[in-house]
Amino acid sequence: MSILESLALGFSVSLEPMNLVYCFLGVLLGTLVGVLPGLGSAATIALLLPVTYTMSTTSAIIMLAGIWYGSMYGGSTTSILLRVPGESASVMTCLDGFEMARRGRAGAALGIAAFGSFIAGTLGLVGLILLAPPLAEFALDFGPPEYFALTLLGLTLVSYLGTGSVPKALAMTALGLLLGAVGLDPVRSHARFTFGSLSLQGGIELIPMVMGLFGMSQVLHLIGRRPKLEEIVKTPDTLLALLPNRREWRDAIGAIGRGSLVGFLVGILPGAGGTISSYVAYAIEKRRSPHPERFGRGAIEGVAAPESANNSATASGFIPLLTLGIPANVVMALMLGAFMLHGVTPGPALLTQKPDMFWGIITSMFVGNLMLVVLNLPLIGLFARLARMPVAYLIPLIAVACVIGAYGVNNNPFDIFIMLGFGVFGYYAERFGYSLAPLVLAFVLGPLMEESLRQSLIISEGAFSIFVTRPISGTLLALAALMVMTPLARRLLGQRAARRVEPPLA
Amino acid sequence: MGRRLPAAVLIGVGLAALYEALRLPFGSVQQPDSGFFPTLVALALIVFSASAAADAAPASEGTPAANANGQARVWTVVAALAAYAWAIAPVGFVLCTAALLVVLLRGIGRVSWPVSLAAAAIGSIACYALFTRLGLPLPAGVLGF
Repeated sequence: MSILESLALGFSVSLEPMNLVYCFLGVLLGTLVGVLPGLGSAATIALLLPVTYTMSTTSAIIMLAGIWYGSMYGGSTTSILLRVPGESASVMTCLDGFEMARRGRAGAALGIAAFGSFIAGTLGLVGLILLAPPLAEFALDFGPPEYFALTLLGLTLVSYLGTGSVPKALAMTALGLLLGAVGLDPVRSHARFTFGSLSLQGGIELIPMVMGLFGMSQVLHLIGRRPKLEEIVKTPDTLLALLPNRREWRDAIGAIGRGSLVGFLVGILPGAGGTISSYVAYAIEKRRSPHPERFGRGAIEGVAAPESANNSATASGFIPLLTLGIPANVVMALMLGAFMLHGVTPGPALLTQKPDMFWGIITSMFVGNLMLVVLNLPLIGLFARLARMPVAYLIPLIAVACVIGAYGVNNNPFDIFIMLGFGVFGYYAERFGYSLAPLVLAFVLGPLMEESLRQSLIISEGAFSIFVTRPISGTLLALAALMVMTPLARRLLGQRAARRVEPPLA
Repeated sequence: MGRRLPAAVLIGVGLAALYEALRLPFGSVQQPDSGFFPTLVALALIVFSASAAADAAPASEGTPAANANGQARVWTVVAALAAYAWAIAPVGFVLCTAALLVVLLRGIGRVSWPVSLAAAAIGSIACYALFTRLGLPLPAGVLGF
């Protein structure tokens, strides 16, 4: 099937009335989540996973994907008008976006963020369409050694590309692998780390864990210290006020292109995603600018680059999941959970066995991006007011969402305890600088990693050389080794550049 | 010591996990069994946590600590949620959620009594109606709905 035929098939699915409704619901919810600080896209997707039981798999993923990229759009609005990033990927937008707004160019900042996001999201999808099919075909040759090497590389990247200390990230990775081993051994059915509890025999559920780590821990942060909102900048009155002038377009267009490319490349890497890509894109723009002193004082490139990067990264983040079955970030781990709930295993076979689903999901993102531009521009004033919802009302909203989300997995109060336990853990882990993303990704990838390790060793009769003598697994392991041993590789991936840029918020 | 406490806790978790993993059948490198992977991972956790403890991370890393009042509020909410989880099956979703909302709105958020009570009653019943309609069976408890 040619690309055009595939796209036609995809649009015939994504433009079905029910899928359009779910896509709209997803982007609307995503925008709200992006606007409201506290309830992130991961926690919202986790909350809605049980609700998707009654939907078709395609509709469910279309809606959940809409929440993800919708949250990237929503996050920019409050970053620019309030200096409050609803999502971590919008932190960099605060720097210049809020300064532009204070200087009377709120409309231009919001406009360039929306148009930049749309252009980058579309370019990211073009990349996804071109890259996913050949990668899926390539991945059909993968055996256990390749999957082990791939998971090891993924976890290494997660640990080394994060924004915090590497030893702490590695410790969280190991803890995530250990938590993933709780329950019955998939091969021999021995109970592991269950301490006699029947509820633990099926393993720790992903949803209560994520609700706790990303939702409940935020509730505890909000309760522990009441955040102060900065002044609100006057929102633009008319749609025309959202249009950047010719000079602003000229300054921003290159940044949108570079941000899209950086976001696409970084988004594919496990653990990197929207947040890191926005840091890297901002740092690159600042470094190549003849006037770097303008950055932080209202440079439009400082809005265009990170916003484009985080939206492009959302599209490319789907590549490892749809082609290899490997989630690149926490949200993709939840998407994997959503596929599994419906009895579908994403991976190389998805494209050949369920092309309507594969292309339907991808094309729905085009539709969703268009909806977001149409939805966001006229409603910016409303979203800005929503972001000022008092914390006293936000806390119960998130807390009840977490409780229902956790309970809804198995209709078992035990899962609320699990959610609460992870909430307390997440609260203290973040307080001490331990990143949560490596823990969740290791938890999700752990079972695949263990199974492929054990199968590989059985195939090779205990010879570890099987991992290095096969070309693909050998290359993947070499990349992991390069990541660990060569600081140069880290510099090339832009981590240092990203770290030089301080986040604007405490 | 404060900064190294989390790493010390993780080392403790690693040691406990190693003890548990060694009680499982390890198998051999040719035929790895249930304990093979957990043993390796527990060892990795101990090594990485020790390395995190030794790592001279900047004191500014992580989020700022809450003050004593903030900590008290955090643990009040944790206790309220633990009680909620314990009571939801016998007492029911609506009553438990209403009580939780009152604690959060009035106790933590300092919202006025009338608004807290009204929001708790409306919010809990609305959530029950919405999610049961979406196919999520929430416990009816003593109210019977």
